Amino acid sequence: MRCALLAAVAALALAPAAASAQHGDHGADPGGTTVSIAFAAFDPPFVDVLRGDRITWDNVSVRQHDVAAVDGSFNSGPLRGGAAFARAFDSAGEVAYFCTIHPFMRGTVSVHDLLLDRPAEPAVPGRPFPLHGRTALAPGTPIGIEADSGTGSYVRVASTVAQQDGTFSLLALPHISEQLRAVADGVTASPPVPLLVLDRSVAATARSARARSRVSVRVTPPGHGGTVVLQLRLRERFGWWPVARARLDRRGRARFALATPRRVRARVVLTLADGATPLAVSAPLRLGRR
Amino acid sequence: MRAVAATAALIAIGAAGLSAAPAGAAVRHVWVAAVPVSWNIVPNGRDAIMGVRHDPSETVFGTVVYRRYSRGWKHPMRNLPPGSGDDDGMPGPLIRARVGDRIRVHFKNLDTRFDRSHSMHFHGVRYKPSSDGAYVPGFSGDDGDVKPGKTWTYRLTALPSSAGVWPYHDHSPSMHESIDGGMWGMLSIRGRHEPLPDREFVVVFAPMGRFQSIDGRAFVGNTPVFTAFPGQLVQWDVMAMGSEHHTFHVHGHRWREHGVPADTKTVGPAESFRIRWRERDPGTWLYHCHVETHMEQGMIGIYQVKRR
Repeated sequence: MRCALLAAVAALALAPAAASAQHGDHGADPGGTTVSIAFAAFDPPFVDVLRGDRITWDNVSVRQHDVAAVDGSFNSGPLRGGAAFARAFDSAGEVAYFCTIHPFMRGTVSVHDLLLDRPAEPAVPGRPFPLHGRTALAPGTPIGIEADSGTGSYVRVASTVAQQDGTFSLLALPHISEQLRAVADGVTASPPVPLLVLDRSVAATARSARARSRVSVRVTPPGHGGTVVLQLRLRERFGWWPVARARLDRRGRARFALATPRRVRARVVLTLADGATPLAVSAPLRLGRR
Repeated sequence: MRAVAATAALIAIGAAGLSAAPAGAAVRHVWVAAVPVSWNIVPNGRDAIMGVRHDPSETVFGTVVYRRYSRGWKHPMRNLPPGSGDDDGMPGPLIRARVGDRIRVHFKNLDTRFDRSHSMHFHGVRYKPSSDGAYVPGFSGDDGDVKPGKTWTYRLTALPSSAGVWPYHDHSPSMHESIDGGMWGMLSIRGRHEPLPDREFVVVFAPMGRFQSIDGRAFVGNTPVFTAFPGQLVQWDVMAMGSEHHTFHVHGHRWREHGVPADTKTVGPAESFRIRWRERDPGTWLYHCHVETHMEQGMIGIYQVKRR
């Protein structure tokens, strides 16, 4: 059903909270894309890049290879082990290539006008989730976000515009896991990216002794990474204040140790990697001696 | 409170340059790196005075800040002495020295987020052009254009005319984005025989997106909560970055400006001053910029003087 998944992707472009946020804070790899040439394969064999991006093929194997377009548009010439070849792609479309020395080694470059960054972490149902991307289209170009809830058809759920620096951002309000893509002019579409939506919970326990406290954290379901932030309820901070941050291990666990010279309320928040955007919150704890 | 001590300026302007380091002068090595961080302007999520909430989607952004390191950039360290403010990256390291000292700032660009050049440009001290840290196409060297992964050592000397507090900031090709994003800090130069204060508070007024910030944070509780005890010598290091003027005001306290009592002082872009007093007034006080619109947009904090 149409509105099932991203019932409302807020069309809020992420607020330009700080000027620097407008200058490429979108997780793009500033160094370009690198494809390794292994002993008998290109790794990764399929890459998606933005029009104008540069790809570097790096021969990390011990034998000689080359990189040649199937349509003959480029050929690196022989590349000994340790050598590299770079090329920028200025037209949208697919370019198939292979190694003429080992013709079974094949790869494809897909050149797009829009790329939506793959979300690095799961979202939480009904919580705002930031999406970012890059575009080769002109600043101000309208960009839509479409979602496929599993029906096989995409539904427009939000829109934004291309920024001066070639990026775009917005907030989603997902309810179930979905495939997302960015579109422009109704015809140009980014490759789809999956957005995993999980209802995760945070449990925290504490032990306090001799003016020090240890807090143990468990997030369920585990195995999806994540950041947890320990917050204290401090009068002079007028609310909850972050005092420590940790990464969850594979079992969804983390620990904090801190000085607690006085009794204080605490809680643990599961956040995005920014350490601020909340995904789930533990019940409050008491730290420090009674 | 009656005016106690103070003074903004111990400056011997126009003093002659040092031909040789005076006896007792030190060579101070400081290791600094430009590091990417995710910054939240309003960590508690609210303007407590006005009762307005601010969602992280409005207040969190990726940026690059100055971080102090141990020798050889091995381990990150505190930027500020305990009690001088929140130690999160804005401001950059408080670089302390005495008049006569030579300062060697070893800078490394670890900006993997934006892959930009950065630099450090210092006010108030003597240096040669190769330590200016300013990018001028066709004239400047690597000091003003330290590329990602590269290093530079800035060689500075604290002259008698350097006594006081001074800004430093990025002056590379990415200067404007980097200053907007918080790449600034302060030098604090004491007179030859001047004691260290018991507390040194660093206050940097700077716009941050649609907020007006102190040390990169907006609204009470988010801006630094400075603390002191009665009897302590406290020093406020104040400067402004950006394109606006600010008026520094502390409730319940006064100091002397050119012999005249004052409780508010104006500071413009890249200007700086310091104020000292012997604390004697317990309580929770406000400090803020008294430009009303700036105060409403977050340029306000609290100062707590606690009885022992």
